[in-house]
Amino acid sequence: MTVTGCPKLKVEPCLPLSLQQLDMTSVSAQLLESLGRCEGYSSLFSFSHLKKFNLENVTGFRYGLGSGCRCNFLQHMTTLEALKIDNFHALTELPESLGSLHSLQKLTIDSCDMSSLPKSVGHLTSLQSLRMSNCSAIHELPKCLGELCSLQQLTIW
Amino acid sequence: MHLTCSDLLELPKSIGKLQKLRTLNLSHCGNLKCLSDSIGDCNMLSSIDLCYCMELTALPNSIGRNENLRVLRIGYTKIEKLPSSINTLRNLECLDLESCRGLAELPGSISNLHKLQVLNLESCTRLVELPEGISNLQKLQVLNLNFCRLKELPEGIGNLENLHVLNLKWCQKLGGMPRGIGQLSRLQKLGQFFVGEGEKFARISELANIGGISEDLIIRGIEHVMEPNDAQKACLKQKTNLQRLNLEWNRYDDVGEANTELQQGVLDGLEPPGIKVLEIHGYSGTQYAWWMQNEVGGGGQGIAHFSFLRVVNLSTFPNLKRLCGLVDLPCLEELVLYNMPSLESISGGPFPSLVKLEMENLPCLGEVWMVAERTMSDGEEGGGCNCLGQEFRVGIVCHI
Repeated sequence: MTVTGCPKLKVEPCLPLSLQQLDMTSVSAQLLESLGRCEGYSSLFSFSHLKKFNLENVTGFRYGLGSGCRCNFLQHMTTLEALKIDNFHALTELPESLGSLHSLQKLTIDSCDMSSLPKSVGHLTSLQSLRMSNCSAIHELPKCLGELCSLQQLTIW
Repeated sequence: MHLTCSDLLELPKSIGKLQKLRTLNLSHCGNLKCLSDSIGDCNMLSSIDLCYCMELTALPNSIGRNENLRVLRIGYTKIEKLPSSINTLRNLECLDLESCRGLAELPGSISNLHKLQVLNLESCTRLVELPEGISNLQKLQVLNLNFCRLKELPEGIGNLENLHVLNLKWCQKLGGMPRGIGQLSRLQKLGQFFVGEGEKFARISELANIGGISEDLIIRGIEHVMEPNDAQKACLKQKTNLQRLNLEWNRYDDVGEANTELQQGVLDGLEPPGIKVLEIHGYSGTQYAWWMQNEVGGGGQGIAHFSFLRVVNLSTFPNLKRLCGLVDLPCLEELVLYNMPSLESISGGPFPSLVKLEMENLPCLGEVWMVAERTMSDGEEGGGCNCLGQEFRVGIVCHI
């Protein structure tokens, strides 16, 4: 599913859980909230087929992904293999639930204002590529980085 | 004689002595520069194939003496002009000039080729007009003009009673179809129809009796349809072989209120048969087609009607506000909504086969209720909510 240039779009009650690929460009934070909601679904609520998620140019976002649980959608995306977050300046931290993405092979973060990576990043044992660019607030990398036993490519600039 | 020798530069003069020669095939002799004048002496020649003789720039005038010639293929050559003697080839049935990109004009005398059945001018990109004489080719069955830059077709094209196939793919400059084209009852393979501006061109209603076995149909210039009734008279619904339909409005800037109403009527009149792919571009009405909606007017019948529809691509609808009550499309796999600056809401479905959903440049689109088909079965059937027409039941959306 691709959503581009729909700044007012809001989906209720949530996006289809059968998605395999999700591209969101120039959307509002409201749409993101619908990714983390589980009303009307059982505790099994998850995007259990989602492999690729691109998130680019989000506006009107007030919460960190982890701070308000409404926005903590990563925990529902445990099958994710590639995650890309681009030009999301309001994003100041990634949630600890990032560590639960055991299938994640590729993580790309570009133009975000977070100051560090969550400690749980060390649990990403499938991660082959970690790429961070234009994230000027990053001052240090977590010690657990050494636990990324599959990492082949590390790019930070 | 069949030669494919890429280094061959010319044929010996003595070729004219071959009095029994019937077929001369020199296709792919990439360096052949000219044919000997003596070719005109080969009285029995019935077929000449010079396709892909890419250095060939002209045919000898003597070719006009080959009166028994039935097939002449000179596609993909550098020929810029046909010899004036071509009009004497009175037995010629097939003239293939595909991709003669240097060819600037056809001689008017082509009208003397009374037996011509096939004329292939595909990708003759320098050709900007056809001689009116083409209208005299009474035996012509196939006229291939794909990728030509013609602005108009000969006015008398309606006289070509035997025309079966008219290819106009990617004729982007064509301003309309000549009046009378709708009388060509044998013209059953027609992939494109251009609605022109003004009385000079055929109205869309002329589409009613032609193109009956086409699987693809692109209708361009729909903004020139002046009466909804005309659209209805095109009887698209009766073209039951149609698989892919593309409706294009190519100008949609000057939209007054009256105009949006007219466009609405026109789209309503263009109800297709049970197709697989539907693309609509540039529609400026405020409401979507009645034939694809449940609530407005007739609806309902759409359910069985579009049971094989796989792809719907709707782009650049400047005034559409609501896309509501879309009928149940059981086979819909791909739905693209692109560039609809006024669109505020969408609802309808379910689309249980949907695998690709793209929404792009929909700046006013607000809340959308997406109900996955699978989750609907446990719990409510959706019936209650559906009467509000606010749900967009998408089913299995994924992106492969």
